[in-house]
Order: sequence, then C-alpha cells, then structure tokens
Amino acid sequence: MKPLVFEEVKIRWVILKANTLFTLKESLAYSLNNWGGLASTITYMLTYLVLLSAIFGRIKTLAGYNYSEILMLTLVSQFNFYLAWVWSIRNLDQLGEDVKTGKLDLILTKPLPALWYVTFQKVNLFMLVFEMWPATLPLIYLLIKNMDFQISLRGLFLGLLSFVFGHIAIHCFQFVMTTITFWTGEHRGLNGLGYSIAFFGDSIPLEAYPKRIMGLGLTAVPFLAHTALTTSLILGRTTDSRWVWLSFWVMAIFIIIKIKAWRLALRQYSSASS
Amino acid sequence: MTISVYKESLVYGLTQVTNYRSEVWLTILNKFVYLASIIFLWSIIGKTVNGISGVTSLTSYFLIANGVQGLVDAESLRYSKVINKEVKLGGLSAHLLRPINPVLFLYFSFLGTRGVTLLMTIILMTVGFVFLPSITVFQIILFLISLLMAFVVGFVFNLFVGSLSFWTPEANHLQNVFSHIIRVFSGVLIPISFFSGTTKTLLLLSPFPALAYLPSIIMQTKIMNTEMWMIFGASIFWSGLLLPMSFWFWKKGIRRYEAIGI
Repeated sequence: MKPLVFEEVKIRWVILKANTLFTLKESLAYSLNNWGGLASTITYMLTYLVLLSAIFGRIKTLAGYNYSEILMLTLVSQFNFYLAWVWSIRNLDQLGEDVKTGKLDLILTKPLPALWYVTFQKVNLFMLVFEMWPATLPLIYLLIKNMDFQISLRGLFLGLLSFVFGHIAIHCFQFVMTTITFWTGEHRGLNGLGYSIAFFGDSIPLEAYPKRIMGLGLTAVPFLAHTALTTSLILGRTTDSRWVWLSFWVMAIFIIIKIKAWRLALRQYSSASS
Repeated sequence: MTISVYKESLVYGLTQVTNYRSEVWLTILNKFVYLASIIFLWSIIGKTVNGISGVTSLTSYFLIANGVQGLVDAESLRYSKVINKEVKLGGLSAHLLRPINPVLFLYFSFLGTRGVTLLMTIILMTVGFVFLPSITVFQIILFLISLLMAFVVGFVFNLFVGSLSFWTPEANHLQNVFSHIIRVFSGVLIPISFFSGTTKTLLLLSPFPALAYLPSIIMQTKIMNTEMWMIFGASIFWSGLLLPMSFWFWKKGIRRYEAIGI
C-alpha cells in the first residue's frame, strides 16, 4: 500500500530534524574546530573588504554599481555562500565520499527516502550562528555606514524569491555534477569544479555580463540568479518580474533533472562493501 | 643513497596522482574557471581606470602571478596540510625514526603528488609570457631569481603553518587564515600597485609580494625602478630571515610531539 502524502512529509521532517540535531552535536563536540572556522571566515571577510576598498580607492563604479551597491552584492553573495555551506556543499562531498567508499549501501538499504536523506545528511545550523553572523558584521557595518540607495518592498520580495530559486537551482546543478562520481569513482575534482562554477564571478554585477553569458548563467548553468540577479532586483536595477518567473522555472527543471540523474546514477551504482 | 630516497618519494607521489586522470583534468578546468572570473573582473575594472593596461596585459599579469603562486605552493599552502595530517594522525613517527630529514622527505613526496599541477602552472606562465609584446634576457634572469625567492618564501609559510600543528591539531583552519591573507596581499587577486599610501609601502616591504606580484611585474616592466628594487631587497631579506626561523620553529615543535604506536 502506498503511504499517504502526509506520512511522506512526516518522515522527511523527522529525517531533517534528526540530521540537524546530529550535526549540531557534532559541531559542539569539536569546539576548537569552530574557533578555527570563525578565524578563517573573519579573515576572509576582512581581507575581502580591504580588496574592495583598494579597488574603490581607484574607481567610482564597477559596471555601474557604486561602493555601497557592491557591498550589497557582497552581502547577498555571503548569504548564499554560508547557506550553501550549511546544507549543500558538505552533503555533496559526503555523497561523493560515500559512493567512493561504498558507504552509500548503508543508506540505500534503509527504508528511507534516500535522495532526501543524502541531500540533508548534514545541516549545520551552528555555522549560521557561530561563523556567518560574526564574519558578516563588519560588512553590514560598512553597508549601513555607506548606504546611498533605497530598497523597495517589491524589489526586496522579488530579490528574496530569486535568491531562493537560484540557490536551489545551483544546488541541483552541483548535485548533478556530483552524480558523475557514480561513473568515475572520484568526486573531489567534480565537486571542486561545481563549486567554482556556482560561485563564478560572485563579485561581478549582473549588468556587467555579456548577453550570451547572462542567458547561460540564468538558465543552463544557473550561477547568476542566486547573487547577481537577486542584488539587481533588490537594488531596483532589474524591475521586470519575468526574470523571477524564469528563475522559478529553471529551478523546477533542475529539480526534475536532479531526481532523474539520481535514479540513473543508482542504476550504475555497484559496491562490494558492508 | 639519501638522495635516491627523496627521488623515490617524489616518483611515488607522482604515480599516486596520475592514477586519477579525470581528477587531473577537472583540476585544470577548475583553475581555468577561477582564472576566467578574475580576468573578467579586472577587464571590467580596466575599462574604468586610467593607467591600467589593456586586457592582454592584465591577462598576462594574472596568468603569471597565479602560475607562480601555484608553482611555489603559496596558493592554498597544501604542504602545510600534509604536515598537519602527519602530526595529527601520528604518521610523522615513522619518518622521525628513519635516517632521513622528515621535512625534505615529506616535501619531495608532496612534490610528486603535485607533478601534474606543477606542469599546469608552468603552462599557465608560458601562456602569460606569450601575451607579452617582448621579453628581454635581463627580464628572464630576474624572473628566475624572483621565482627562487618565491619558492623560499612559499616553503617558509608552509613550514610555519604546518609546524603550528604541534601546538594545535586544528591548524588546518589557520592554514585557511594564511591563505586568505596571502591571496589578497601577494597580488594574485589585485596588483599591489592598486593600493595607495602607507598600505602600499608596507605591503611592498612585506614578504607577500615575493609570492606572485614581483615575478609577474618583472615580466611586465622592461626597466627596473626603485619600487621593484625595494621589493627585491625585501624579498631577499625575508627569505634569509624566515628560512632558518621556520626550521627553528619546526625543531621547537618536534620537541612537543607525542605519538603512540609505530
């Protein structure tokens, strides 16, 4: 008998909760690791701000964006970066490693929605509190200090939608790349490339891209929606809501591709372990 | 006898990495994507700033700077990660018991695993040279000297950060901290000439420009100016000072090392 829809949702919620709690316990167990991570993210942010101030010491605008608008772009890019690390990137690495070592058997033999489980195997909410906010504070301070633009409610809403759609779409893109591990047996290079594509030009405004790359970046290789398009919508530089609809459809198509790629990859999977 | 041990260690590392050919190609592609984003960013900046050379010159600068930094392993301080792993997991014990220099042995083994990457960085630099209108013999000589200094400074940073593992097992994060600093202040993301005033002077006198800016700028400029001599002098000073200090730091760390088992 097929389980009811609410049972399907319930089991997914239970998995998500259990994995989040486990990841939290794991994070708290290695406290020194957290301090190290914090030092690393704060240093990154500070050096990046030094880089921006050096560039804007010589130029007034970058592709039409002034200093405060570029700070806004950086903030969106940082949110996307941390969110990706909270739930996506670690799981992609874990999946690649599990395929390579044969540990995936342990997940596949359990009566669980396997795709859901591998997508949310680790959800590191602790990172949001302990690493993201302290590291982002200097950026937020500079943004408030230099802010010379206005944000409309409509722009903020459209930007938020584009952020979510773009974030999910690029996760699915990276996931599809990771599934190639089922054929090659190695995941580091694939994940590294997926990561580089996902964060390609995250300090470059949408308006700077040539039309062809923009078209590609908003559809087939969706690296532009989560940060560049989102910022453009928030700042009111892009007002046409059709771009948000496009992001939505791209996300929907990528979710389907992700599911298909997963099924195809599982058919390829063989293991001699456990 | 001793040299052959290091040579075999190097060959072993190379064999290890060449077994995973797809990984090698993907790493190359990854580097290409990374460089494309930097060059794209700077081509946009170049359009709005007077005094910045054209896209060809910028491409050449960033290809050489990134090539050098990759060649001397100052990019992500990967050798420090090797040391960290050996110290953390106790693998260092096996090397300490043998009649070899553990720092050199580990370095040669690591160098082998980077064989293909090294080849790629040399190709990057060569492409960077092709973009230059002309090169003089004097520039090549100075470039080779600066490359040697870049190698020394890169090695020193790796050994320093790696040796920190004797004090804290989570030195990998410190390696990230140093990587971020090096990335911005060595000239691979932004030419140091872009900084102004005291910051620029301080940076030119620091060991960071030796890792990428100096070798790259040498190939861009035909005549050595005061600024370049200043970086040259600073690089020689830092190389001479930091190399013995890093070995001293390693030895101090070794005294703290504890491991159980073989």
